[in-house]
Amino acid sequence: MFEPLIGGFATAFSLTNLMAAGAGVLLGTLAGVLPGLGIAGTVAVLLPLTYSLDPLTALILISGVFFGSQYGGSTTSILVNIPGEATSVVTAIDGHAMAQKGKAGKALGIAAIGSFVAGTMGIVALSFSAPTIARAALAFGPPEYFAVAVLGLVILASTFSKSPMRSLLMIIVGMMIGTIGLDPVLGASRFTMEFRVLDKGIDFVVMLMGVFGLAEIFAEIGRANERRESSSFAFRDLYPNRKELAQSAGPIVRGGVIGFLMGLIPGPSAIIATFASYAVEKRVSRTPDEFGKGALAGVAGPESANNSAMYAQMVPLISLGIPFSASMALLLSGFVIHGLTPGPLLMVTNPDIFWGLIASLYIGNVMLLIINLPLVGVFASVLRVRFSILLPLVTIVMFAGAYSINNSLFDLAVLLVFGIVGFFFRQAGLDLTALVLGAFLGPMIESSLTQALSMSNGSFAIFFTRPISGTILLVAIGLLVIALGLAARRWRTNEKPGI
Amino acid sequence: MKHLMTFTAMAALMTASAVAQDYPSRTITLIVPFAAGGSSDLIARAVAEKAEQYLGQSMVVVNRPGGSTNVGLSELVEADPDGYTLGTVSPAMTQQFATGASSYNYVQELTAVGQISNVPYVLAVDANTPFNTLDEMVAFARDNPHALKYGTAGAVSATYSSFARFGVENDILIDPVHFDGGARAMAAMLGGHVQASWQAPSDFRANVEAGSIRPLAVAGESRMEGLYADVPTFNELGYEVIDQLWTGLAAPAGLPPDVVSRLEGALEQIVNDPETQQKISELGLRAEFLGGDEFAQKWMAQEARFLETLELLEAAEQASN
Amino acid sequence: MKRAVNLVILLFCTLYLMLALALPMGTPARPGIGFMPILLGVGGVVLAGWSLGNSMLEAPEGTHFSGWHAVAPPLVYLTLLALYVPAMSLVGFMFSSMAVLTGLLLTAGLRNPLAVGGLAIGFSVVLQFVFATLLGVPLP
Repeated sequence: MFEPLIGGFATAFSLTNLMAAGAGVLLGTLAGVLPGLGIAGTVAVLLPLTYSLDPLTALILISGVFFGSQYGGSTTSILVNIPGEATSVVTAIDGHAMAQKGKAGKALGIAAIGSFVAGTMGIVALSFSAPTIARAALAFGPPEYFAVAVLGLVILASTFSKSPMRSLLMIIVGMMIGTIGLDPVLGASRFTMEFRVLDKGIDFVVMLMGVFGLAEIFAEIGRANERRESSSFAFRDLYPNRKELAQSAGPIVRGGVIGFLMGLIPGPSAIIATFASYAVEKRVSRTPDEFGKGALAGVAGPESANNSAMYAQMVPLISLGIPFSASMALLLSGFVIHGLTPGPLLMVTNPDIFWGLIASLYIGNVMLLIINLPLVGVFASVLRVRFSILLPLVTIVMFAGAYSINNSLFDLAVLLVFGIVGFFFRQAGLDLTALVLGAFLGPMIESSLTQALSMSNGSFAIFFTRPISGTILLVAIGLLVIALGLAARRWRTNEKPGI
Repeated sequence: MKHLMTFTAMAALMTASAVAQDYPSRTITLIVPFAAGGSSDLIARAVAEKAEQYLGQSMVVVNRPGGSTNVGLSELVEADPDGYTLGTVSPAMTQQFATGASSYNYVQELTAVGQISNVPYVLAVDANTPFNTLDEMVAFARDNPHALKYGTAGAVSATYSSFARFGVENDILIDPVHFDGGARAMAAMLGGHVQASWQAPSDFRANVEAGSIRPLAVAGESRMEGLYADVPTFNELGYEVIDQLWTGLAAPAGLPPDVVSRLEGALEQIVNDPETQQKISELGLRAEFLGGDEFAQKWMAQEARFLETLELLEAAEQASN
Repeated sequence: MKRAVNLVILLFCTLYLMLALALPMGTPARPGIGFMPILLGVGGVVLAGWSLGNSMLEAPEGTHFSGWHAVAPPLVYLTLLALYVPAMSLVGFMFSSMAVLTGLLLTAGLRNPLAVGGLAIGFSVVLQFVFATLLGVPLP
């Protein structure tokens, strides 16, 4: 098992490949930091350029972009409360709270270290068990996706606010927004009121930028001039200290494990992994009240989870040739344009490529740490800029970024509308995380429900008679009952409506 | 805004013939109605790369995914017919209007430039099923109505309509499960959640090689070469099915004829370039040029066949109720 | 505030349910495109009604309207951004950004005219370069 891996390192360790890894990570970080310009956009721009490269170098470059953008996305979440993509929504909650307390550097540092450690865990798991676990993951069919998504919603409703019922309402409103446009299965348009621009639906990333970023700016702008400098901190405070590292070890390892296991399940799993990790950390924490106000574990856990989930998503691609997400589809085309077919036989027909890629994942991961730890200081110092300058500049970047997703002016109107919605919902104390994640999970819940019912000729029993989905749904129901029970008790003792 | 658009459209029409003489004089936009990385996207990029050489101008690929290709195709229809906005089309374009998924009938409202690639669809089953031949599968389905399910890449696609028609014509009750794209349908088949699927040979490739998917029949006029050489055609087995996945170039309706012929000529050279041929065959597809007129006829034939399929399916539905 | 927002949500859910009811429901074996929306609509209306009722029970929050100087900046900001979108399609990204950025910076409280002008022009040019030239985004 080790021999081919060492051979892989030998192939991957060329100057060109190291440079490709570095360039990929740097580009990815840049793309992650610029809101809106996600992995997909960057890789799509890069793909044609890789035609002229050696296949392995091209793959290393592309996977470097993946790592970089994953990390870059959390940077904006922490600094300016703009999650670049779904998997960094949870990071924004405590990460941004930390930044407001002047601890941006610590949050960024722990995100980088957590990503590295969990990433390494993910790669090790990937390199030693890919074919076996990929087979196991196939046991998850539509009924199981549905069950996992429902479990995700229950965790979502019971974790981020004191009122599970209100969070549930936000989830439903989010799912409603998710149904606008052409439906995913039959391709018929819904709730567009004949406006053709709505056909492609509300872009999820634009919604994220509006609800979090723009709403935050609306809330801050009135006070911008009072807050001359957001925080002043000594340089040694930039990085997490030894005690904080020790505290984060548990969350990082737990996050890594949760992320990898959930990431294997196709569909919305990487994102569910982030909030499952957050929920776990909140439960095991001795100071759960800290969560939402800048708990380090609330950054360390989810950031680690989303990283190892990404490696887990590579498992079905590399070992079965099936891409389960848009970003994996792009990685697949990275293989395909070089005449390679990832699949069960890749390891046999092109072992040098397979092991070279695995080795390059290790290299890319180390490269990410090397490049990004020094950048933490640079990024954190962004917050030293006066708010009266920073906020307008961030606004304009956000508009340019939102436009670049689909090259659509309409998306900018969507951005504004969700900025207003986010502003008022926040004033009313409603759970925005539930709103956006509801919009994200909604289409997946709908299609897996429809598919499962087609499989069972219309019988709902399929969700409970299949062992995996039955178990998951029972856990979900149990959690919901506990959460409602706790909320009801709070309500009785405080005489406040808290359900 | 609207005035501006009508004005530019009119201006474009008036200057059309003048434009044609020095066409193309600037970069051409190529709309791909799929996300980057899919086979349509890669075909488009392979063609775009050669545009500079054979057309004297570069082509930029713009991905407009979503709404089962409707987002990109409607943008193509609405573009100016000046030859500077082109798009890739695939068989789904012949189904959108009839199913009500689009208010545009793309077959009427687009100009065919030429076909780039063409492969037959393949019917395959999960290798864990006991079916070694198409006849075995059909016989089982006939004895066990609603027992077999097949995964489709979406309801508005040949992966559904052709399989459904096959079911009706052979009097078997086998039900679709619609997935969001072919990859998910295939994963469901590998996991045993559905038993069969109707897809392009390129999508099955890796798993056919590995023996985890068993192809039963190809929907072409003759057998394929290479990996699928042992797989019989439907016609050989006594079922009349021809169903092909083609990709080609189209432009908005009203493209001046001299621009069409300029593009058509360049496309023929591009498709016949050995480098393009190789790139397309690496995707598991086959480069095959057809001129604009023949390609347009293909659209119409396909649309007619699809309308027939819809009627058949509707009649079957009514009979079962 | 809480009540108003809850009322808007209830209205949204009701409108949604009305539109959803017009879509075909299908059967469980072959769910139509209205299947999920109708379930969501019903759930949304019930929960939104409950939430509104609950917020009525709560003690009304004092209207802490603290004068126009607190409300004006976000409103001006919003108006500028609302004008930004049509402006972009008329004069292009770079010039509209310059104008809007000037307005935004002034609203945010920056007073030094040199800083405002320099930032507005410099930053717009940099963005135009990064997005359009470097990343190949066809900015308007």
